[in-house]
Amino acid sequence: MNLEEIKSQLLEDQDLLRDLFNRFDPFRPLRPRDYTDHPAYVNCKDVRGDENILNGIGKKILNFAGSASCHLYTGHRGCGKSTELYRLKSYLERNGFLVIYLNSDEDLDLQNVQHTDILLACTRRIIEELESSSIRPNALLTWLRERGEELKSFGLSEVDIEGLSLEQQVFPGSKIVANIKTSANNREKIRKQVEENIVTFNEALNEFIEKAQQKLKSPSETSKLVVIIDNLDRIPIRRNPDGSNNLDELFIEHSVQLKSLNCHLIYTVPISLLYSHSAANLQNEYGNTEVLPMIMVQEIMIQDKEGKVHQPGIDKIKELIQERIDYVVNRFVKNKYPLPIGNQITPILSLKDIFDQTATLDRLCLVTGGHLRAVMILMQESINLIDQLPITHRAVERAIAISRNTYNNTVDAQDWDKLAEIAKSKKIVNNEEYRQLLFDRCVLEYREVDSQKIWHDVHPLIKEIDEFKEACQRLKEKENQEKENG
Amino acid sequence: MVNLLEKETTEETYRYLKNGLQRKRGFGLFFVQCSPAEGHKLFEEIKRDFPEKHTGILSLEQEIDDLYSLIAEKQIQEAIDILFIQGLDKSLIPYVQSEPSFQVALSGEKNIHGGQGNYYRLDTVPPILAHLNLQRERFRDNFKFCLVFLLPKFALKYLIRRAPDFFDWRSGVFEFSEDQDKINFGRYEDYLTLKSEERYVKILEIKDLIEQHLQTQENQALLWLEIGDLYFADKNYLEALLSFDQALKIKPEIHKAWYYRGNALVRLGRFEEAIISYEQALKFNPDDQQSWFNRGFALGNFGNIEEEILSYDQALKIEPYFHKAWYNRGVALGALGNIKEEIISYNEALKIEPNYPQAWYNKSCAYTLQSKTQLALESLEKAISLDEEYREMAKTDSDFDTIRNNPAFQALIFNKT
Repeated sequence: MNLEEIKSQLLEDQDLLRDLFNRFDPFRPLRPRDYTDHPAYVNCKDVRGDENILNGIGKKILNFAGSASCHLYTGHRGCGKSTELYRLKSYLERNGFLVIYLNSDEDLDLQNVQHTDILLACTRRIIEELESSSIRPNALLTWLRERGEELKSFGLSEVDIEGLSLEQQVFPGSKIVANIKTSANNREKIRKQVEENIVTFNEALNEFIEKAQQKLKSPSETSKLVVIIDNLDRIPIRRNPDGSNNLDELFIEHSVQLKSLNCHLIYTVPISLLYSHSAANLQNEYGNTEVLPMIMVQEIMIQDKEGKVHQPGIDKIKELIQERIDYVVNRFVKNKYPLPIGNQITPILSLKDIFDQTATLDRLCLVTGGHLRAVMILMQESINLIDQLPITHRAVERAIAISRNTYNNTVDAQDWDKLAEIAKSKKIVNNEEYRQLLFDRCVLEYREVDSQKIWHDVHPLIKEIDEFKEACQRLKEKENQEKENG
Repeated sequence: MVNLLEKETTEETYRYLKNGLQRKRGFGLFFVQCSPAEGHKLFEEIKRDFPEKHTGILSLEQEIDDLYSLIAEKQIQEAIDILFIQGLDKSLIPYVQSEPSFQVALSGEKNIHGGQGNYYRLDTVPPILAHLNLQRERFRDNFKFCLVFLLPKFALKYLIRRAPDFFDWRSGVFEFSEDQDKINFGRYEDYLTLKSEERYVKILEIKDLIEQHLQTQENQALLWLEIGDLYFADKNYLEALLSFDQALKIKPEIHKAWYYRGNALVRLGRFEEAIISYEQALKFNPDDQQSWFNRGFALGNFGNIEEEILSYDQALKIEPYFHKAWYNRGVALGALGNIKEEIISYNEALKIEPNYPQAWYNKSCAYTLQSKTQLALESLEKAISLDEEYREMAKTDSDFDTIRNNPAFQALIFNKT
């Protein structure tokens, strides 16, 4: 079989289509293997305002003289943060660090989380990680024992501490963390316990961390432990009656506690936090927050004209799609159609084969606004709508209509006018309502490579919704009227 | 550039759903917007078309807060490749009841997009949605099959807003929309018999219908009227008002909408606006006696009794047998001290509706003030015979002070024969 024949067979192969569909899962970050990026990983820094977590947080930790530092990392949900954090983990590990990755989704109740919960979750993960080593958290054990009576009152320590594994000795049956997630009643009790004894708890924990670091220490360096607390950006904002909110409370009012662990810490925070009233405090407490912006697919407009398409951004998304396709096709062909050696060309199936026309693919890339999870979702939706390759224009338009509908359902009726303003000014007003739009990804954040200029724009899908167009019209009329009135 | 696309047929949507379910390996989330009946049909069809797959259905009959355990249980009982989940909306219904948005009421803002309520308020999250958002990793890691959520539109919308992280992991959304012909307009009297919860479900259903862009403007406006009626039946007058505003924004010439809007304003105690609203209704339909009547009522409550009487006169010109208008006219005349005319009005009302205790009672009061004791006692006896409540009322009513010691009055009131 020659290559052309294989190609035309591939395009009709339902199994291949199935593999492709599954490769665009929206819920699995890419993980590096053996310190090398995943084969489907595409570095997008050129179109993301030169953002590079390895140069940013990575270098800071590498070059930091002390043993403890704290960094914030942010970006829209689903823009690729976890993938980048896994890369950072791999990079730091290659440089001799012990990196512990904590997924807040699994260990915390993000609907209701406070600083003590985070400290406890970190503690548990560190102990878990070090269990195989011979480092014993004696101080922590003592701390627990001293509070045995109280802990007993909620059924946590009625076990023989000495007879258990290390982790269980500290947190019998990991019940503390489990309880934080499930029972509101117990959660309050545990929080109170830790909160009231926060100083001694911290001392005990840090003594353990220090011991661990002694053990990990190589001759040339002083500190080796990094904890990444991912997914805290999913904490939904909750307003208190006095006008404050849960995010400020956690990240600003309790910054001392969040920074209290004697190791390197990286917290993923909601992007909306950067635009709170306490943004300046945030900067004071944590230094610069590292932001992973959207891939820039459109340039900022000049003088009232929509910015023109930013081709490098579009090309980057295409590359990303191509890489995933290559990854699938290469493996598929290897198993099913062994190619004659020397005939292996990459790509076997190009984007021209996968999509009916270039315009179809361009449209898909542009409408994502540079949001990577949207790329995945649109690809899957489009593949749902075809019975066989190529992906047609109609399928992509239908997929876009479905996503557009989702955004239409996200936007509150009173927000259309705000969105129209943002589309015009490319800026968000610094208040809560606008921050919510950022949190909901109705407004996206971009950064230019050269000028490092930050700007905002309405999600391209929203720009196609009638209500948005009406709001733009209203804004225009209002401005004209103001002009007339001088 | 948005191309206008033809809406896919039900068959096409079904095929797309099949594609997704056929191709998905391991964990997958699919969301289907459909009615419960269509949901069951889909389930049966998928079962028939995928005989090699284990297709199950989890029907939720009541509010739950832990879906994970239910699925886990199901997984133990039977092999699963595709699991349909129906009835998640039952866990959301208790959270969709909205309260009047007092801020809007205070600001007096009109023409706002009404009737949305605050069913996705920021301070409450239905436990089931918090659970989905929170446990999504456990779902992904432990359920190696497709979950197909069958949802009505309001529930899907709720999910998009309040469980965005869970929804973000979807592999497909499919919409099976209702036929346009299926719209049945209900009746206010029927709505009154519904439970509050049922009314809100109905409201959400109608909102779903409105959002289907296939609706004609006429239908959209009529549907908003239905929503307003439902809110009204639920005594949620502000949301009712906002809904009528929505209807009028689409079709300002519907006189009934202006009339209903006036009623909502009366209930809210905003009489000036109510009067204007009734007058709008009359502009489009000057022969609507009900609008004249209610306008009179609003004017009276506002203290403009002369105008009130003229408004009843208009109503009576159109419908001379409108006994309530005669009665109200009598009360208004009485308030002006014109007792003679007052009694004439009550007599007109009683000619049309002899079993009208209020009119007999008021007539009795009027005769008493005229010192026509015998006539007063006859009327009072009639009122009491129709409704015992008037006996109690007469015991303390100062209108009867002048005849209170009259033995015949005493006998009537205390039932002494």
